[in-house]
Amino acid sequence: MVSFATAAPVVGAAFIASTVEIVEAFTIVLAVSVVRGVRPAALGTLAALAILIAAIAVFGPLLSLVPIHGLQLTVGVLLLVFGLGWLRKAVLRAGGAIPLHDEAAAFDREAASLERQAGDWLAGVAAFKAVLLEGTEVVFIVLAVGARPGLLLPAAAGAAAACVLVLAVGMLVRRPLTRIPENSLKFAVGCLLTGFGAFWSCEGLGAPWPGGEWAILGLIGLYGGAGLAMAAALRRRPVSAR
Amino acid sequence: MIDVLKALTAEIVKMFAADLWLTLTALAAVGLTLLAIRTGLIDPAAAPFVLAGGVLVALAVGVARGARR
Repeated sequence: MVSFATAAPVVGAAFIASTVEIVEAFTIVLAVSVVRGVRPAALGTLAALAILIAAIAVFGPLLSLVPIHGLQLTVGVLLLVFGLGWLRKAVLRAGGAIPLHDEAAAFDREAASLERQAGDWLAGVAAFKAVLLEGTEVVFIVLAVGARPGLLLPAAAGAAAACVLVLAVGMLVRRPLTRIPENSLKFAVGCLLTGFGAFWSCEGLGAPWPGGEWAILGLIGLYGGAGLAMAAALRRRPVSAR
Repeated sequence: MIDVLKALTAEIVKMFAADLWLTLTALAAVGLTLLAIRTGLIDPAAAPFVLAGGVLVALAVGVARGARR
């Protein structure tokens, strides 16, 4: 039985990361739905979701066959690299060095592109591609944070809950979800994944952390604090340096 | 379909190497920690702190490079 202290960060990481990715995919699917109708949007989305669920169902159990130290090191390093990428981008956005992601602009771009294209088939492919590409990151996160025994199901549940929530809210408002604090979520996920990555990499090297799994919370706090300090430092730069 | 596969491959590469320097610095942090443990340069008990510091350096380098662009 997996303890709450072990499962909660895994579910949280999968839920928040999935929310960010699903919001981005939803923007494209909504554009397809508005410009070309619900049918191609739904068909493209369902086809991509089927592939993503199959990927988790196939690769998840396969990971349990890998020896634990090798798995911890491989997954840890991948999570570290992936999480640092998210954290770096979120820090740069929070510090004003690069622009924030704009869902409304993404929706307008996609809608304009769809209006130029002919045929529902291509619109369905656009929805399929958006869900597949954004979902690939979700699959990686679910597989990575759920790589240890008993954690795949909680991780998948976190991602599924995010999917249901975003789709429910999206269907209710029928607009791009611009009010979701995308960069704050991305920052939080970056800290979570970097924390998990550092923890598992070191465990995989055969060097256990003091405090066991509680060290993950310390690592998340460390990288969160450092990220906030770096964003603040970027904001204090003279405008000419930006 | 070829277009979708190409985009999927690009997405997977981007997931881990959007900023090559960040990826290399993070890999270097893990690699150097492993080397330091294996050569007896540091006690395994100190390795977590060395790695945590290396990851911080990787983040700082990535942010500094991104801000300069």
